Amino acid sequence: MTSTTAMPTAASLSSPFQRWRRRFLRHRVALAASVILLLLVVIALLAPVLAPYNPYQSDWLAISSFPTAAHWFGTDELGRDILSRIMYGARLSLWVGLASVSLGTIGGIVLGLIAGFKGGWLDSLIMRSSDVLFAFPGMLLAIAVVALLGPGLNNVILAVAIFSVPIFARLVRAQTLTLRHSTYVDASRSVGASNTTLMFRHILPATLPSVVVYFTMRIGSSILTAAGLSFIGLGPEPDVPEWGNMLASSRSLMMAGAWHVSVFPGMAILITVLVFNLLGDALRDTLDPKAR
Amino acid sequence: MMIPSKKVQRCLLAVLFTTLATGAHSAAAHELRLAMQSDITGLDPHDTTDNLSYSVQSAVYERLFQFDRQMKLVPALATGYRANDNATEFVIDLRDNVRFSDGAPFNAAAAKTNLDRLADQGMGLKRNNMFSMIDHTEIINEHRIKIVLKQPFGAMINTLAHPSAVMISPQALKKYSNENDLRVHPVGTGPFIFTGWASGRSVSFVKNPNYWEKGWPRVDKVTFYPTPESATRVARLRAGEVDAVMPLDAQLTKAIGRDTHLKVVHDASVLQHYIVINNLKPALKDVRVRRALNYAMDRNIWLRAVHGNMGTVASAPMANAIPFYQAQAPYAHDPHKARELLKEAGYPDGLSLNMWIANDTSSILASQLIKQQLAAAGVRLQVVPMDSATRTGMIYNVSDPNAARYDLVLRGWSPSTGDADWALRPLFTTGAWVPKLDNESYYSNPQVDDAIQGALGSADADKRGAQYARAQQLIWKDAPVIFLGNPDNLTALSRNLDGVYMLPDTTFAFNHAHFVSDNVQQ
Repeated sequence: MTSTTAMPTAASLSSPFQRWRRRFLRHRVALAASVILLLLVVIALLAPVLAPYNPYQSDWLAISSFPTAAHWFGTDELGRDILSRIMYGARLSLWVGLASVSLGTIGGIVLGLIAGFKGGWLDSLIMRSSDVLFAFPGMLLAIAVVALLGPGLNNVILAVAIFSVPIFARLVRAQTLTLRHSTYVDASRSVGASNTTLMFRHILPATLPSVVVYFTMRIGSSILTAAGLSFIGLGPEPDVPEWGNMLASSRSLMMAGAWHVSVFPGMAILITVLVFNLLGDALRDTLDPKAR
Repeated sequence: MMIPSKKVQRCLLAVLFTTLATGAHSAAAHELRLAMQSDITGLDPHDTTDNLSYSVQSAVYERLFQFDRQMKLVPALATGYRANDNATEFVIDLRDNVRFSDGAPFNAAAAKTNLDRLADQGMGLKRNNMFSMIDHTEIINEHRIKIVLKQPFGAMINTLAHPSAVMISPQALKKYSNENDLRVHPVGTGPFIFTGWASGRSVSFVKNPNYWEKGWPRVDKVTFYPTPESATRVARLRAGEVDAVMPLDAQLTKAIGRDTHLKVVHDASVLQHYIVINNLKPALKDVRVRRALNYAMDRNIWLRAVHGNMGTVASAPMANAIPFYQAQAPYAHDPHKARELLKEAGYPDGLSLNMWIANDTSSILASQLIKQQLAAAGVRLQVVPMDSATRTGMIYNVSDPNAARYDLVLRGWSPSTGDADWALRPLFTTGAWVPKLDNESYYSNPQVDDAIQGALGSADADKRGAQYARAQQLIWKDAPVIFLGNPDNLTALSRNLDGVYMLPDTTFAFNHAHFVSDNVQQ
């Protein structure tokens, strides 16, 4: 093992975080994605204030009407305002994405750390179980979990969380294997640090950049999976303004020529997933020292 | 490049056109393909309760009497009948020269075998109960039978026209004596012969070359494709994968109207939509609560949003096309009154109920509307969608009525005998509690039972009318269900297809299906 010590320059005197922030702010795509995400979060948080109508309220005189001044995105098959439903839907989609991936990440990190650090039969057990979960396509696994637990938003979150676990477990294990014998870990160990300290204070922080990148990207795909589950009727009740639900109930109308009922919720899903993916890319670019 | 001579060119063109023409013709004229909303439940009509299965079974099986497009009784395997004055004996003449597709003759003995099977209450078939009034059947001669009843039953011929009262080959009944075999080996006198059922994918039939009705059938094959999602059904029709779609959701009529190769067929229906209320649940035992639920529903909005405003809203416990129908004072939409009634009944903060629905597009749409309307009256609804087989199983396989888990069930009932008896008795009498018949509400009012039974005991139309009027009045007041209405039957067909339509009871007819190109040829 070799190590090089460079003379400190003016630029490298700043903290790693400051350096990352500078790189991130120079990254145009990252900035644009962050702004849109911020906008989405604001819409989600302030939906009750911003939404022009109650998302459950029908205007019986305007069943599936095209976009008008009164209903900017038109109304659906029961005369409900699509814009308001999309705004409330943002809450659900962001919550599902964040909650499910957070759960999956926590589970994955713990299992990955244990597998990588302890090795042996525990490693085999965890990694082979992950392989079994990997063998299922993500959507199929989520369908199986929801079929077992029953439909509903919380079960969708759990389903997406479960299929996120092995991804993070594998990622963290790989990093742990490399870091386990690095000099600074050996140094800590030699002064008597416990395994828990080594795992969670020394190794875990070093794995976080990759975890953060993956975390961001997974949110996009879990929003998509959740919308998919709703679309096939395994999500929340049909009247809940979840974007996948909105798409599912608009299929018939779309065929009858009412494009707005599916285009707007579809765009909402597209934009949100795209934003998370772009953000994930940008984080990878700016966090990964090799990509510099 | 060498250019072939003009003669060769002409020959090639002729061959090409002939191939195209015959190819197109054979694809279009000889196979009828239908997309329907769910799979069949079996192929023994004696042991079937759903109209969709009855419709598919009609490819193979025929009854003594049936209904025409206006729900008028017409003879089928029978040619006529005579009844005695007090409606206890019916002499029926049978059609001559009819054979089952396995070669067995259709005669008085075959008819008796089938009627005995239907009347035998020990058989355990789902439709035995409908024929419990038959005491015995006598053979008068090769083509004449006499049905003797235990008690007068004015609606007997209508009951024989019910789609379950079919004639199954006696040979097949012997060969497939186990019900599990018979339900997948149907042998009848119908225009088609069964070839296969791939569960969830298709049910297929070929033409019966020895069919008794001259000139029919005019298609060589019929295949049914279960396609639960209504937009997918229409997509298949538009792509030319199927020739007909049953039923068509009202929302999709516009999609069909825009396509010049397709057409929409529109018929009045006797199918009554309603929401079962479980009358045994503590809160729902109270008639005030049940009336409140009825006042909470805006039926006109339901008809407009879910059924494109095609049809009628409920004004009695049965459709207005059924004989002896009598209009009642409407439950006008009044959420305020509904709240007041709930408050009176001890529910000032409203109540929470569950509602089981089928997971098809139209039920899901209707359920959202119902949830919204009941919410305005303070009723919080949890909608539980499930596939129809699961739902039927969970409703009918309950031995203790108090163990039934549903509060409400979104349902429809079409009296396939075209008579008031079958519109009311299976849904509203005490003897009809599930699983015996279809009273899923567990509703019981001895006065209603008496009126319906009283009507059956007479062949006199005036007396029957008076009893049915009384029954309807009582049921309407007791509100054992949330009455909705009778949306029209809608189907979509290829423009060149004729003879495929839905009967008012929502079964569909295709025995006279033909493509218009056939007419050109003949």
